Amino acid sequence: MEGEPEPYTGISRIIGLLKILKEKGGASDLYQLGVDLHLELGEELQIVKAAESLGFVVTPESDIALTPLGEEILEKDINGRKTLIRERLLTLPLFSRVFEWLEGEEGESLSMEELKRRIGEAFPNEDVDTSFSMLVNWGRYAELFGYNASREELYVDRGV
Amino acid sequence: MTSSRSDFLSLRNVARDFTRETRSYRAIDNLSLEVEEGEFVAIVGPSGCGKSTLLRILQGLIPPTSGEVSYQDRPQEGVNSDMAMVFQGFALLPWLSVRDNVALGLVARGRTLSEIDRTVSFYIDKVGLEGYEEAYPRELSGGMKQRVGLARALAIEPRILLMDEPFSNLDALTSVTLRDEVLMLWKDPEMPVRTIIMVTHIIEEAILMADRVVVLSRRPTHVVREITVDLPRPRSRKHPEFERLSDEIFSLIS
Repeated sequence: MEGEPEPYTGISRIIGLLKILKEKGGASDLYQLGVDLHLELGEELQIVKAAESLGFVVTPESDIALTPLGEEILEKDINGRKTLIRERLLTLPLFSRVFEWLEGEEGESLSMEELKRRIGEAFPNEDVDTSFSMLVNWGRYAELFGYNASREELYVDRGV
Repeated sequence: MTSSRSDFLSLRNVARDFTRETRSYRAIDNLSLEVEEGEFVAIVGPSGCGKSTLLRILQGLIPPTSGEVSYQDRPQEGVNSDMAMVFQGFALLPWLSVRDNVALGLVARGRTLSEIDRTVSFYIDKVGLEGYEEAYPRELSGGMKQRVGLARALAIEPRILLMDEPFSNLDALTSVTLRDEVLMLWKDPEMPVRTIIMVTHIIEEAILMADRVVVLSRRPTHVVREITVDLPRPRSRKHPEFERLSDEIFSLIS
C-alpha cells in the first residue's frame, strides 16, 4: 500500500464505498461491510463518518444505506462528481466558515498557521491538523480551495 | 478508420530469453496474441509469469528473442509512439508539480509551449485533477498520484494505453473508484485512446473491466486461453456469469 495512512478520508475512498454499497443493493450491515472490505473497524467508521458528513449515506442503528444523493453522485461523470462534492462541502460548517474567512482577506488567502489558529478557536472539538488536511485535500478535489505548499497558504480556487 | 482484428496489433510466436548470471532461461515462449482496435484486453497470469515483460515487448521497449510484433499490418521496430504506459508504482518525479509531471511526455516529444499548456490542461481536467495542478506528488494520496500517471499517459494522445497493474498500489476502495473512472475515460468520445491493454493479477478486476481476458501460463509463458467477457456494463460481481468466469480463470491460473 502507498505511504502512511492519511488522517482524513480521501474522496476516492468515499466514492468507492458508495459504489460497493450500490452493488450490495444500496444497503448493508455495517459490521458485514467492514468484513467484506477487510477494513479494521476504526478505519471503516472513519470512512463511513466522512460519507455521512457529506450526505451520501445514513447509518440507522448498525446498518448503512445510500441516500438519494449517494445514488446521484455515482451516476455522474468525473467532473460532475467534483461539482456535487463542492456543493456538499459548502454545507459543512468547517468549509463554509473557512471559505468566508478567505473571501474576507485581500488575495483571498490565509497562511496555514493563521488558519489553524482560527480553526482551533472556532471548532474546539476538532483536531486542527486533521481539519487542515481535509480542507486542503477535499478543497482541492472540489476546486474550492487551492494550497501552495511552499508558501503554506490556502486560497480560494477561482480557476485561474 | 478501424483496422481489422488481424492487422491492428499482434504478436506472432514471440519468445523472449533472459540471462541471469551466465544461465539463460526462456521467460516467454511461442506466445501469440491479437488485439483489435477499440478493445479492452486484460492479461492475467500467475505471479512472475512475465506479464510486465509482455507489455514491454508490445511497446517495443525490449525486443523479442524470436517471433514478430506487428502494428497496423507492419512489423514494429523500436518503441511504438502510439502507445503510453501507466505504471503500478506511478513513476512520478517528486520534484515536479502535478502539472509538470503531466507535461513530461509532451516536453520529451518537443511540442511547443502553448501546445503543451493546452493539452496538459485538457487532460488534467479529464482525469479530475483540476485543483491539484501546483501540488507535488508527496502531497497526494495514492489515488491522486495514479490519476497523474494516467493524465501523463493520456496527454501524449496514444491510440493504445498500456496499464501495468495500475491499481495494485491502491487500497481496495480507491481502486473501485479508479477502475470506474478509467472505464469512463475509455468510453469518453473526446479521448483519442480507444484500445486498452491491462496487466493485472486480480481476476475480478479483469472481468469487471475487460472485453476479453487473456490467461497466461507459468514460465515459459504462453497464452492458455482467451475468454470473452460479454457481461453488460456497469458490471456487477453479483451476476451469476461473473462467478463462473472467475472460477474458470482461477482454475487455469492455479
